[in-house]
Amino acid sequence: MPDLMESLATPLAAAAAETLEQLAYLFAEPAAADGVATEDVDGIVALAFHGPAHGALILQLSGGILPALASNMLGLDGAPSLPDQRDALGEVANVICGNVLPRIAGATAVFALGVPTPYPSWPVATEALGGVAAEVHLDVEGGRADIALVVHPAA
Amino acid sequence: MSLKVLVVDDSAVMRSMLIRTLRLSGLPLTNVYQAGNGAEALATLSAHEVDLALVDINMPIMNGEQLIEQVRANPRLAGVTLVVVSTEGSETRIEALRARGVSFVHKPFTPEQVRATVLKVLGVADA
Repeated sequence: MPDLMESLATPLAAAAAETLEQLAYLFAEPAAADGVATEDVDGIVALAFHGPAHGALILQLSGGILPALASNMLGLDGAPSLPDQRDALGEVANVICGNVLPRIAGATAVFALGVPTPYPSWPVATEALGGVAAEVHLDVEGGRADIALVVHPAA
Repeated sequence: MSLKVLVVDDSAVMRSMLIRTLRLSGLPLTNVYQAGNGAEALATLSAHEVDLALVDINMPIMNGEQLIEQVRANPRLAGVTLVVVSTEGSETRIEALRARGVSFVHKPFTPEQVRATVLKVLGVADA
């Protein structure tokens, strides 16, 4: 199980860092502290996927970086509306998921991605979606991104 | 060259980002229309002349692949150039799109990538 966790965590961290940098101009590095942030949470969203395997990607941003992420994506100086912030969070999860799946399943695997769905807390999301196969934590310009991959074998 | 462009994506943030990227790319835009799904896009295409449609794949109501089928089946829309802008990473699916004459831009994208793809699909040499 640790091998599986490691084999998924490395491409997950790479896809997340690249997406945050290229889509939202936010630079990420491995988090100094372990574990999922429990305070000052900006938002949590999950995106289901179906294909050779099925599962979900969970993304939580905390520490006040969601307004900055959304304003960077929109090219605004101030904080965007809350609906735009939620939209931006879902789109970042969508892009991370779309970029990590080929890295772990191969370039020819075909997946269908679901619609980003908000969750009230990390425990609620992980309990609803099943066991987490890999989890990465990134420090992002004063805030934090926690990302998990839930993977179930194809039925 | 001047372009009338339709941006189709269910994310309003992504539509805004793509329009900003188009402007940053230096492409000559005259009109920019937006649609949140394939059905809205078809309504826009029936009401306005459009040269280029940038289309997401995963959308509610009518997805990008269904929209492409509808556009390809309508002779009146034969002049609309289609470019898919998606997180899609499967070479299998990307090749299937290319076989239907649709170009592809991967999210996340840069202004340079969008410009190069649009000019190539329009058959215009970059100045």
